[in-house]
Amino acid sequence: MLLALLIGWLVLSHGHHGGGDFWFLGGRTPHEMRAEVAKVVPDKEMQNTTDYNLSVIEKDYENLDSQRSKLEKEVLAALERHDTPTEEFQAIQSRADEVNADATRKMLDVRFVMREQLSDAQWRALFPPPDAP
Amino acid sequence: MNTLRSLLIAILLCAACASHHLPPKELLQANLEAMQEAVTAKVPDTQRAARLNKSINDLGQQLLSFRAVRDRFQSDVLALNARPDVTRGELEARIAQFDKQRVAIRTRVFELHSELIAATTPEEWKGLFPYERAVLTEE
Repeated sequence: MLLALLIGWLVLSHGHHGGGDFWFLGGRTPHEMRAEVAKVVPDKEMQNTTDYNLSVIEKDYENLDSQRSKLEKEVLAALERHDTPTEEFQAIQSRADEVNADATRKMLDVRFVMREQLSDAQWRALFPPPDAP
Repeated sequence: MNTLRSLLIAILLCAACASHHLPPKELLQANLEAMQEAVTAKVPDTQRAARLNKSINDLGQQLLSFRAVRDRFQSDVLALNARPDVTRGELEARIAQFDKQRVAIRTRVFELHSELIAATTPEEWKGLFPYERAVLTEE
């Protein structure tokens, strides 16, 4: 929970899901998403385009994950020390906010590129609304 | 004697495994209680121990609040994303609202950490930090 508090929405976990999935893709892994795309998008060229966009998401997420690991190590080391100055925590939070803003912008960019390339029906099939609680 | 020791280790390992299989809310509660028990064991000054226990309770409240904020946010974003006509502005606004709530809770969590530090000696903190780490990092 510390990292989600620190960095933000992209590193949230989803209560019942394990690792390796993307909660904002409905808790599916990119591999599972590609299988869905193959079912929903009949056009091969469009499938490739969507697969490429999924690869961009995956790559951006890998990059975020490496920054997440670095921030996790730093914040835990700072919390462990008894003499960490407040400024050090503030600096970590500022860096985490930059990481969050950058990753959010990139993720929304890809999301809207993908959206333009798919029909309404294809989009609805790939991203169904969550089950009502 | 060796058998007894092995048995004790096995029991402790089972207890540790069991705590990791608790549902998230129960795991948080178990970690908070473990931290408060550690305060009793490691901080002999009762006034400071009381301050620490209050901060630990507040920390638990903040983390529970964050869990509720997170669950609402995730459900809202999945619903927004499912709409083919959702605008970037709508998604950005919901993310910004979440970030505002998240940063407010984060600020309070770091303040509570400072309270824990202020109420402990470096030696006491060495013994308490593994518990804070578990509270903050175990889902």
